[in-house]
Amino acid sequence: MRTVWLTAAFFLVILAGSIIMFAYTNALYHQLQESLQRIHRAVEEDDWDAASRESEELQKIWARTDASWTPIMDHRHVDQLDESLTRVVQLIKLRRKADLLVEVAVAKRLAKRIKDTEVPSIRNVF
Amino acid sequence: MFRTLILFALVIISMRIMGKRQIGELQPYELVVLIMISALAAIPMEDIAIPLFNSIIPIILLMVFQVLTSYAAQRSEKVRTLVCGRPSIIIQNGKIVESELRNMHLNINDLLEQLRICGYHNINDVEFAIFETNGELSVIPKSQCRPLQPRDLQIETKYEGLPHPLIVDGNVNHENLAKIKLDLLWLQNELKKRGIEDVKEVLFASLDTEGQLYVQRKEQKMR
Repeated sequence: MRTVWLTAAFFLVILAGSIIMFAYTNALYHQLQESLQRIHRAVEEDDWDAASRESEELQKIWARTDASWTPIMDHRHVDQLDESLTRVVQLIKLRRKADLLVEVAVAKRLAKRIKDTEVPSIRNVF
Repeated sequence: MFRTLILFALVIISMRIMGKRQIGELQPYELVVLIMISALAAIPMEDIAIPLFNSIIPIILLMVFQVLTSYAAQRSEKVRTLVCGRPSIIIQNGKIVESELRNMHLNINDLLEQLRICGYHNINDVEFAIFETNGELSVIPKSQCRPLQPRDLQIETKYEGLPHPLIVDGNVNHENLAKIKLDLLWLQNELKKRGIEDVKEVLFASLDTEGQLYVQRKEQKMR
């Protein structure tokens, strides 16, 4: 009987942990998307100083996101997003508008892909 | 290496929590759980791109479901029938039940082979043969063919309990000694009577319910 209670407790811990992790993953994803959106807007308006300031904010958000996503997400997907964000930061420094807008779009798509794999949907189940 | 160690420890803990059944005694659902746990543990050991949590959580969940299913099967006849199935009577009153044989996808040769493994070379000696839910065959021989029992001859037998191991590989089992209300001094005296000065010289010693002490010395090391 003790084992049954213990395993039931395990189950509840995993369930609660999954819900909390999902909520946290979602929150980080939105922060990342908003930061990328701000960079996109600043670059479109040729406001490179604002883009540069936002890139520093983006790196801080990414450091938090990477630390929490890497232990639970497919490392290949996280690495792809990491490479894309590195390119975004470098392209802001180089002020290459066209390439930067493409890379921001790629980074947004990669982040969405990672977030979507965690959504408890029929598509993901199968 | 750390991933392997963590997964190894997790699989061992899971197996310990799930119980002590041997492979041949597993119910079908327990075998399924065992195979799935093995696969889940093996894949992230070789592919470091897969997060360890992707294996740890399913392994724990499988263990949880296995324990809860076992508990439900213990408490409910319906659940037991659903997850474990029912035993199949293959030979009833000395006659092969063909319909059960077909249901089990067995042929006569398979049945004869299983009977031979159980020690029955002649089907004529068998009154009942039952395929248990874990795949084992239980055979009940005809009354004239079963081994002779002391009660058939109305012979009184003494109680035979379990012998208590007292020394294993030179180490005294104090717990067993206390259980049979004896002490180390008694054990050392008994060993001295057999020409053994130190318990470290003993490979194995046990005491049976008749009070007989079995002692085997360690082999002398070659120098």
